[in-house]
Amino acid sequence: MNLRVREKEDLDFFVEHHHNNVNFYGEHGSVMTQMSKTEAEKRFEHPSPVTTVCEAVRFVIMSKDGTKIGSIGHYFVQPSRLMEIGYDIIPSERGKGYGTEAVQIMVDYLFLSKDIVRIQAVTNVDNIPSQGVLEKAGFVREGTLRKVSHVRQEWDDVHVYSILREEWKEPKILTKTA
Amino acid sequence: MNLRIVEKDDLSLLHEWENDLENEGEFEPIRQKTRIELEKAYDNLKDAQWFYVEKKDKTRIGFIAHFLVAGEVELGYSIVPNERRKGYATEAIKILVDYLFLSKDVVRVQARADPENFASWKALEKSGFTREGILRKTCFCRGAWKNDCIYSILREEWKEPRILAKTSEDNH
Repeated sequence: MNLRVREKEDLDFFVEHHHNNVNFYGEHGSVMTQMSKTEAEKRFEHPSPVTTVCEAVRFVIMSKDGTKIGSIGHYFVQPSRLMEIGYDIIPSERGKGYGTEAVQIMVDYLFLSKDIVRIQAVTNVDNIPSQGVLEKAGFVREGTLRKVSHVRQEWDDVHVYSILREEWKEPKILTKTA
Repeated sequence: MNLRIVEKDDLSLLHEWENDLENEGEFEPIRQKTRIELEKAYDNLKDAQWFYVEKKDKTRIGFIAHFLVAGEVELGYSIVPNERRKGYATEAIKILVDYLFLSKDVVRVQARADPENFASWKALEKSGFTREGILRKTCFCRGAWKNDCIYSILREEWKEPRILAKTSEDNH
């Protein structure tokens, strides 16, 4: 598997899966992701002020044969400047451990490249597979925030997870030098 | 007690408190701010409000504010050292929570406190907040990464105003 920073050419993939399929995020995610290719390109070329201030970066998750199977991103939550990651795998490739591997690579990359002490992630309390990904990647559940996520007409609770630099210790997949 | 919204020509006391290490106590970051920086922060307030906590005799004994953190309404507060342990923070929090649930269409109000800052999170618990978890190493404060207890109160837990009234007529 490989993570590659998202290029403009990848937008077709995002339009097909993320922006043109109300069920992409399953029952745990927002349905409001409809976006045309034109709109996606506009956003890519002119990131919103929020994207800029969060220093949000999105990567494409590629399987060994170069197929795009999902995406993963990192950003600083404002105004606390806490580093957070978010990820998704296309429906046909779920349940195969790709999410865990992508998260491990991202954690390696972030701790190797940035002077941060923690990386956090949040998941809907009903999204068991996503929690499995975080736990397998060494994240610890810190608590449950109530009614913070508005999904499909309901306010949902989310679990907050984090991994500290001292828990990570050393790269699991990436190496320290090229 | 009353919460009085801070006016721009009224920032001197707040400025003095924020730069006073004794007032800030052991749990706040050491962050010295110029008057101009504070005024700029005041001018740039978005979805946030600052209040002085006033006693009946108009003495200002503390500060309380609400602001947005990642889309969530959060509050923060402090009481001057010689007026601590008298329940003022709890009362101020209750008033602000009443105000927020009465005036804004929000389902939750949250707050954070250092797990070692017993007085601070006790005030939240006395005001009806529930502890949701401890976020580790979220705040660099006085030379070390500190944890944050996160608390919230939901609209259905608040149910109705504790101190403020729903209409001004109720006060007459």
